[in-house]
Amino acid sequence: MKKEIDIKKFLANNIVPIIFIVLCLICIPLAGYSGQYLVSQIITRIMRNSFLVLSLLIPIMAGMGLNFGMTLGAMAGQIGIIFITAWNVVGIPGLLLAAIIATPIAALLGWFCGKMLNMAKGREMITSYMISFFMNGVYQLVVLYGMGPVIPLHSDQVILPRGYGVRNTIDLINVRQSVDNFWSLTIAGVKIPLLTIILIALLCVVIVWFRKTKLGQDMRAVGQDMEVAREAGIKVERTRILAIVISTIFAAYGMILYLSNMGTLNTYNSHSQIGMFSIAALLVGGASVSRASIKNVFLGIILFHLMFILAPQAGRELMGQAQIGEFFRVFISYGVITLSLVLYEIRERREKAESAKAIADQQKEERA
Amino acid sequence: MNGKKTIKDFFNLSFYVRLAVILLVIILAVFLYHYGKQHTVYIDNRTIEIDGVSYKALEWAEVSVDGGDASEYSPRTRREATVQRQKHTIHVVYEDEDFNQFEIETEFTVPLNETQVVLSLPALVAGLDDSQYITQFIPMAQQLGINVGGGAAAAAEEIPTEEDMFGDMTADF
Repeated sequence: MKKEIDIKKFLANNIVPIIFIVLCLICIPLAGYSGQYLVSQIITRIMRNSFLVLSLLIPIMAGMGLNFGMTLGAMAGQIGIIFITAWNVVGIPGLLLAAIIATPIAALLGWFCGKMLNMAKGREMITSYMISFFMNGVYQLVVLYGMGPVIPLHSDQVILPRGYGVRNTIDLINVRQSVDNFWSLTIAGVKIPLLTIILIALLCVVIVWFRKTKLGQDMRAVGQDMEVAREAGIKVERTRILAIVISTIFAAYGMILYLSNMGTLNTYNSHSQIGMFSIAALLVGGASVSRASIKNVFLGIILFHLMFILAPQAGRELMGQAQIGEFFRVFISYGVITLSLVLYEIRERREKAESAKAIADQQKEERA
Repeated sequence: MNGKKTIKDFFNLSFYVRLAVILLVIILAVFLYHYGKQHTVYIDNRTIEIDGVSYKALEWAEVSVDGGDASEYSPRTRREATVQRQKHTIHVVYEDEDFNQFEIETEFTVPLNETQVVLSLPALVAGLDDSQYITQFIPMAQQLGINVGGGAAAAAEEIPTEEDMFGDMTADF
């Protein structure tokens, strides 16, 4: 049987990626970058961001929407990175040690976030967003006043000259691109970091496998209907907390990979950007609050980052100022989140109205 | 039926498995710290006095650490070698004032918590213990008692402000 393609429905379901594809197609000739440059940049950014964006999938599966609380995981990752930089532990052993340090912190923060989200069922996204602001304050307090006197770190590279608090920017030269450079090959002038690809592929496999496990199935059941899942004997609250804990830990690892790729840590704001941009990238890939897949992750990163690369240059070519392109991109980043949330809400209401109408029609028929 | 958990229920197989995993991770972390910690060794060829005995700088020396590239040293030369882990091998070929050539290969251990150390070549070839020929590196300013961490230097380093703590959406990602 031939499947009919409903163009209207297709457009409605994929409006965000379509907008981005059109924008990118307009910007590519304007920016005038070579194909090789664009491919190399896109590969770099896929390697840098995939882990972070993939960490968002599990809470969506558990029906908890977009986990703005991934910022907490990013903070944990940053703390791990600060420690290894202060201790001068370099290369891949340093990154592994950072991951080990970050894991319990991320688990603890994830557990706290999950507990809070269980108290605010149905309002998970705004709650996780506010939790990330709240924990940001705690992070600033620990990093700005605790590190040095309370948490003994004495590295000049990390601690401010006044003797306490971490510097605004930390040079991560000792771990910079250590994963990317460990095993890589160059094809047509484009560097392919094989170890990073393996790590990302491994996480994708873990996510696919996880969906099939008992816990994964429980999460899907909880995501579909909490009450039905509870009736079926699933520990709903525990399952939801686990979803957030897993996501936060993955976000911490993602942040470590991201920072090692970047080679610099902006101590006080790297993590706050990461949550917003990762969510925007996922939504650009066609994901919604209730449905996201690995395909959405990669499509989103490609399109979203293509805009990152193209917008400043296109702005410069069109208006003579790169900053205008930057503002345009910022507007697009926030706009896409808003558009996705609005579209999701419209779709939800439409589906509810349609099911209510179907029930009403059925009852009318029964009465007749 | 009593629903309360006893101590026996708490110390079950899964408890021991979890404990073992946590211990393994801690051991791995300690190993990674030892294995990945980078030390800068300043190999120094200057006349040095240890316990009242003076060790004269070598006239000429060629030094390699862990089989790496060899570097030449004349009196008052200091070069740095960046190493990971604590135990290392140093190979020194040196000449005395009469141009007699000697060769020495020895192992040395860098103190774990020292990021920068000074290794004295004259003390090493004199056969002293590594705890004597390896000393903590103290920057010159600190040795002279100049406060580099405060005053003007501290004022030059920007202290994070509220602006830094908000996400900068125009920054690259």
